[in-house]
Parts: sequence; structure tokens; C-alpha cells
Amino acid sequence: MSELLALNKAIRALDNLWPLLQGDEQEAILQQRNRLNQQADELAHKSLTAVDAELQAAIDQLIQATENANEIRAVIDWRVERIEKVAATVNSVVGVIEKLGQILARI
Amino acid sequence: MQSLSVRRIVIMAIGSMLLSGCASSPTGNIEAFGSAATEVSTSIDSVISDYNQAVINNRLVAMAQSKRPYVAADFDDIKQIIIRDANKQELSLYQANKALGDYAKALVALARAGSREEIAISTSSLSKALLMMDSQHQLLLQKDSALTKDGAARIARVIAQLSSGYIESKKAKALKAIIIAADPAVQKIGLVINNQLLKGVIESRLYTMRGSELAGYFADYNAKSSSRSFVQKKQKLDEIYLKYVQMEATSASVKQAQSALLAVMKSHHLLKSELEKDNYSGTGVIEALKKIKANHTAFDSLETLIKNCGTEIIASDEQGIICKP
Repeated sequence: MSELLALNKAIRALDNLWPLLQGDEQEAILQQRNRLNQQADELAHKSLTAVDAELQAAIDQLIQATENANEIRAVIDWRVERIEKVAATVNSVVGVIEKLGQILARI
Repeated sequence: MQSLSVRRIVIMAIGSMLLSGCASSPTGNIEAFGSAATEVSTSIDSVISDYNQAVINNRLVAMAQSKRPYVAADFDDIKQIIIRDANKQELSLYQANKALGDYAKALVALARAGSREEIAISTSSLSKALLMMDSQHQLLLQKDSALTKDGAARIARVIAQLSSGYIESKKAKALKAIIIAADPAVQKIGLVINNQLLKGVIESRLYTMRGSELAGYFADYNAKSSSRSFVQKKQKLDEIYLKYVQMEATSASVKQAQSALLAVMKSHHLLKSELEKDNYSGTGVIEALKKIKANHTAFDSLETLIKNCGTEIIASDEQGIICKP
């Protein structure tokens, strides 16, 4: 990380220098700045893609917790569905009883 | 009729006993936490996108500052960056943030599962059914009504409350177990995300890259300075100053994401501690949730950064104008 910080610092110093120069001198400093910028970019990318074992274990653990939460949610959804089905069944049975009642009342 | 009344009293008594046990429903606070954490994860994701965009812009800046002529093939270099950065899955920051975001979303979904409203809707039809049955009972046996409209509604309400009480208690247990088990992972991941941002990979690169662009404006200004009038020069400097302020505020969006992330970690830990004591709605949890919200909305510009800074505004070589940590 200190290497990246040093590169950034050098780039900023060159950026405060080259606008004051002209011609070949300016071009030479700009090229140097571009080279450092590229190095810094690669280093930053390397740091951002590095995954250590401890982090990977934590990510896996959190993915597992997420899966558990999703599974329990599915079970709860299924239970709610059953409550809804019971309510719907009671309703339809009542409908049948109502019709039966109407027939019996006419006899 | 008497037996129905007795049954009604018994059901209501059981219902109120169960409900008193889950008076402080866990779903509200956990759902609020999950929603806030999801927002934070989204804002970290946009920091990653901004950074990828800035890397491409930095190459364009370098090209524009050169005196070389260009052809389409010169964009090949940029194409490689696009290909490299398009594969966000490779970034540990992305993987860690995605795991955190998915976890937060799953908590919200679980906290919302089998809501009281859903159960209430399905059981409200029960009161109508009970009344209908009662009217048939009256019609066939020529007896008085055993059930009033109000009584039928009350029975249905008790059934709904019993059902939702059962679901709530299942959810409470599950959420407690999940949050307690996940806390070490949340803390570790949060720390890595925060450190990677804090360590200055993204923040200091963004600041440096914006500085390189600013240098181009100064080079242009300097090249034409002697031929410009005061008014022209002042106009140009005003334009450059706006770019300069933008550069100095670079750290604001990153800092905002960092502060919000730290608040998420803290409130998750607090939530875990409270859940261990079976306390789902302690004032500490509510305060921590408010803090996530506050951190999430602050620091979206230099002006708000200055306005909201609780310590001291300082100039940092690596990060521009910042609020002293």
C-alpha cells in the first residue's frame, strides 16, 4: 500500500510541474507521469482483486447465512400459504353447506 | 350457544397470551436494519462503478494531454481496461460487498415473510364464513342466532393473531440465530471493505486521477495566458476552480460510504448483542439504525461535508479536503 501512496504522491508532484513547462521538456515529464499512472493503476487493481483466505472464509460464512435466511423464508411462506389454503377451504365448505341448507329448507 | 361462547373466551385467552409474548416484534428493527444495509451496499457498489469510470477517464485525459495524433487502434488500451473492470466479480471489494448486500436483502425478505396483513386478509374471510354457517344453522333448525357479526369478526381476528403470532415467533428465532452466527463475518467483511477504501486504494487514486485532469486545464490556461484579457482569464480560472472543488470533494462520496458502512457494522453488532438477550427493540438498536440513515444521507458534496463535519475540516495530501476522522 505504501508503494501505491508513493506513486500517487509522485504523480501529483509531476502534475504540478508539467503545466509550467513547454515543448520537449513538458512532453518528457508527461510521459513519466503517464508511466507512473499506469503503474499505480495496475497496483491498485492488484490490491482490489486480492482475496485472502480469512476474507474468503467470511464471505462464505455470510453466503451460508444468506442461504439459511432464504430457506427459512421459503418455509414461512409455505406455512402462510397453508393458512390461506385452510381459510379458502373453510370458505368453500361453507359455500357447499349454504347450498345444502337452501335445498334442505325447501324440502 | 354457551359452548361457543366458552370456546371463544378460551381461544381469545390463548391468543392474548401468545401475543403478549411477541409484543416487541423483531421484524420492524431487523427489517429497518436490512433496508439500511442494502442501501449502504448499493452506495459502495456505485463507488466501485465511479472508480472504474475514473480509470477510463484517466487514460482519455492522458491522451488529450499528449501532442500525438491518434487513430481508433489507440483505444485498444482502454478496451483492455473495460474488459478487465467489466469482470467486477474479480474484485474482492465487489465480492465482499455483494455478500453483505445479499445478506441484508435476505434479512429484509425474512423479516417481511408471512406478514400480519397477509394472514389477516386470508382469515378475514373466515368471519364471513362463520356468519354464513350461523345463518344456515338458524334457517334449518329454526333457532336463534348463536353468533353476532361482531363475535364472528372477533373469532376470525383471534385465529389471525394466533397464526401470525406463530409465524412471528418462528421468524424471531430464525433471525436471532442467523444474526448471531453471521456477526463475525459481517464485522470481518465490513473491516476489509472499509480498510480497502480507507487504505486509500480507491480514494487516493480518484483524487490523483482528478488532479491529472486538472493539470491539463492549467496547461491550457498557461499556454494562452499572455494573449488573454483579465476578463477572459478570470472566466477561465472560474471554470478551473469549479473542477478544483470537484477534485477536492472526491473523498466526500467515499467517506460517506465508509461512515455508513461503519454504522452498519456497529448496528449489526448491537443487534446481535440485543438479540442474545432476547431484546428486539432496545433503544440502542433504534439509535444505531438512525445513525446508519444519518451517515447515508450526509457528505454527498463538499458543502454538506463541511456543514456536517462534527470534528474539523482539514486538507489531506492523499484525500483532498476531508472531515478529520
